[in-house]
Formats: sequence, structure tokens, C-alpha cells
Amino acid sequence: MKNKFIVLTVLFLIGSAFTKEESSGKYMCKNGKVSFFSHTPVEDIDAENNKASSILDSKKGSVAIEILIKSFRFKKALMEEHFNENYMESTKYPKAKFLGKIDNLSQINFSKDGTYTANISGKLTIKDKTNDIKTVATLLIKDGKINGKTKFKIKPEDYNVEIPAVVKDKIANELEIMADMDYSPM
Amino acid sequence: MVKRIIISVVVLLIMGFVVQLYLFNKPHKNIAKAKEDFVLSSAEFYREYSDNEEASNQKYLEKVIVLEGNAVEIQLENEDEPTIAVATAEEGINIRCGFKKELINEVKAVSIGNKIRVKGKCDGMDMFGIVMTQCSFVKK
Repeated sequence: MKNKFIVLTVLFLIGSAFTKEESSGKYMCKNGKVSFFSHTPVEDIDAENNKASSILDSKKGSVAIEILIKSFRFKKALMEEHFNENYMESTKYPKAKFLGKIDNLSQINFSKDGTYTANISGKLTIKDKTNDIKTVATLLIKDGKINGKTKFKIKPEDYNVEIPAVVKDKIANELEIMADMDYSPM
Repeated sequence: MVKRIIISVVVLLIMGFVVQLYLFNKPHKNIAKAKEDFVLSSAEFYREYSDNEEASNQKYLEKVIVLEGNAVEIQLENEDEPTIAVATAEEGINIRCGFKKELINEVKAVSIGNKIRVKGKCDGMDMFGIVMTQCSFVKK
């Protein structure tokens, strides 16, 4: 009898925990990994940021991401300096932002463990330029948490990033952006 | 005379090359060893930032901060950068201090509620508070 009571209490607690999660439907990521990669025959350049912040609203299907440019870390100090001072002007424009939505929201069951493909579209702002982008992300849902991964390409010139002629052959026309973000319920 | 000119040109070229090579490979600024620009409590740091983000960016971005505050969460989901969230006066708004992978054991040794002193580089403010990276612990 006593055991039954305990079991019921535990079940009730688990149940209420789940309903609480479902009632918000929001997930947050505070230390997401965002990296970019540039390949040319002359030089490979990559940089990594482990502080991407994001809120994913599973009910509305909206995704907001903010990335601080100063958190990008390069292997070479000089590259990091040029990136911040010349290309990104990161004191003037300290963050990049993405505001978008999951277009195939109905195909994703956030309360069921599994791997889902999310088609994401939205607006990416870097420096003072905003462009529409589309990407496909893989969402791994497990134990109420979500890992989201995606990869896409952008052109520096689309975001007012001017690359001087002297280094043009060292920086690729298209940069590959990769994101790997762990979300937990808010 | 010609010989002298050739020698000086070669020496200059070598010097130029060495300087170039040094610049290209110059090491990152060691934040842990750098002298701090500001010593701040987490509450006042966030108060100032939220009052005027733009002015705070001008003042604090890339500066070395020694931060004092209470650990409110240890965030280890990103293995490459163990992080301690330090409380501000606002609930849910923290200062996220990112440490090098090698410092993971020191980060894990911190308990929630512990008062900590952390030195790091200010990267700015995002939706969850202020971000500091390349952090290390400062002994009192």
C-alpha cells in the first residue's frame, strides 16, 4: 500500500514535470558551437565560437540566435585581430543575429525521441546587412533535450565584408558556417 | 661599394622577413597573465551593460575583467568550453564565463553558490547576459 502510494507520487511528479515542459515549449542554448571555415589553395582558415545563444520555440517553430563576434577564436592571433578590426568591425557590430522559423514544424515531434530534419528559413544579420537564408538542420531529440546541427555557406561580400586585393587569394569566396547547438527546456 | 649595398639589402630583406614571420605567428594575448583593466562585481557589471549596451561595448569589449560574483550554474554541455554562469541581480540573467578545456576539473570543483573571482576577456552582451571568454580563476 505504502509502495503503491510512492509509485503514484513519483508518477504524478514525473507527469507534472512533463506537462510543465510542454506548457512552455521553449528551449534555450547558451554555449552553442558555431564555426566557420575558409579553404583556398593558399591557406585554410577556421575559427570557433562556443558561446552562441539561442531560443527555440517548439510551439511557434521560431528560432532566434545571437552570436558575439568577439568570441570567435582563431589559431593565429594576427588573423583574429584582422577578423575583428578590419573585416567584421566587431566593436561597431558586436553581434550577428539569426531570426527564423522551422518550415516543416508539423513533421517534428518534440516530445518523441528521434532524429528529425528541420527546414529552416530566416534572416541572418551580420554587420549592418540582413539577408534571407535557408538551411537544413538535423535535430536529435533525446530525453527532453535537443541537439541541432546545420551547415551552410555565405559570401563575405553579401555582408559588407570587404576583403582587400592583397589577401583575396587567401580567403575563400564562400565561407562554410557550421553550428552545433545543445538546447534544454527553459 | 657594390658589395656593401648588396649586403645591406640582403640584411634588410632578412630582417623584414623575420618581422613578417613574427607578426604572422605572434602568440595570442595571454589573458590569464595580463593585467586587468577593470575589477567588477557581476551585479554592477550587468547593471551598467543593461543601462547602456553601446557605451559599455565601447568601454569593455576585449578588455580584461576581473569579475566577482556567485556561481549559479556549471554548464558543461559544450565540452570545448566549460562554463560557469555567475549570478547578477536579475533572475535568469548571468555572466557566462568560458574556460579552456584544460581547466575543466577546476570548473567542476566550483559549487553552486560559491563566491568566485574570475579573470577573462569581455565579448559583449547577448540574450542571456554578458559573455566572458578565455577565463581563469584568480586567487585572492
